[in-house]
Amino acid sequence: MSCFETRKQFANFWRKRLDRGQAVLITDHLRECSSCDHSFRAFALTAPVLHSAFGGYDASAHRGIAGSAIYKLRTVRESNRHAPQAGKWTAIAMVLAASMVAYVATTVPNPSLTEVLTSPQPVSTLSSVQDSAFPLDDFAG
Amino acid sequence: MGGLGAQAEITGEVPVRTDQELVADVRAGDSAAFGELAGRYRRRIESLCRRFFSDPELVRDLTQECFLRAFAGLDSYRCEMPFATWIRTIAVNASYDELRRRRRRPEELVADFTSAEAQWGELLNHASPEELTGIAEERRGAYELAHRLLNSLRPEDRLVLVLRDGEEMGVNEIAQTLGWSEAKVKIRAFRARQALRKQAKRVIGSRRFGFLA
Ligand SMILES: [Zn+2]
Repeated sequence: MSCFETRKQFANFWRKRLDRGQAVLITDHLRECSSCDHSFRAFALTAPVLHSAFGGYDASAHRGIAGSAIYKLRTVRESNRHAPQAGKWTAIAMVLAASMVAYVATTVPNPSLTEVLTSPQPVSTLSSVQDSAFPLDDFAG
Repeated sequence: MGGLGAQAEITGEVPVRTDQELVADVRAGDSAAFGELAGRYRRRIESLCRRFFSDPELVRDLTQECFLRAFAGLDSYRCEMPFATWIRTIAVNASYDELRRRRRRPEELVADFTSAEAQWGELLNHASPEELTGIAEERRGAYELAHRLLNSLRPEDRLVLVLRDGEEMGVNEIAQTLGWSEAKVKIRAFRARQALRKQAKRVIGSRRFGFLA
């Protein structure tokens, strides 16, 4: 596998979309090519946000934040107290707040493999090297 | 996105109302139907917001704000567009507004790395590529450091980068979502990558961080 092909597959490698054979080709190349290895590690600086399945580490899974939904509910109630459809707004806010609280209670820190595989994300559009954050001339050793 | 009705037919489960049916029900006064719509798309919208902001409370509030905006503007929603596309556009706009409101200066980039970030930096130096892909999502430092870099970008540059790389949207799709020309999207994407390369080099070259040296 060439340097060009290897770097084009960084995102798919990070997102674990490659089959075993393809992934091995990537890791073999990275082991042999210090320039691409360096480039991959630079890619890994932002990949945890840009290329994670669910936007990255879910810190809220480790903190109680149900209060924010309740705060929003209060805010909506206050701001719509005199609005013609205040009752309807409050009902919606309650539905949303309740669903947010329920969601917080059931959120897991990391997606399971099944979740990742069944995530209805759009089909990947491979980036060209020109479109890559770290093209070939970057971080060359 | 969508296809829930078809899925129910295949599995033989209780028929699920389509997004368009739920929208019609909300318009007819069934507020609970909007809760069902929110339940369908909340996680996806939250994931999008999480690519823009690291603060979990902000992510939750912004997600909720998106659905409140959607409810408030439901009369303007046209059923020819998938609901998923519409709610994503609302989330993109809300995130963009917030990005512009709280833009950080690039000089904050290499100041005071946290211990979690430094630990991730150590791993970036020494762990194998497979190990890095396997453990990144469990590392708060990985997420924080990535945000630190992305925070240094101009809001419009970050917007395009997140939509292009994170959400894997095409140039045409981004242009339609933002109401920009395709040329503008391409230029912004190019500038975003240039700026990101520059900031990555600053981090890599930082004495305080000292990894990938
Ligand atoms: Zn190479």
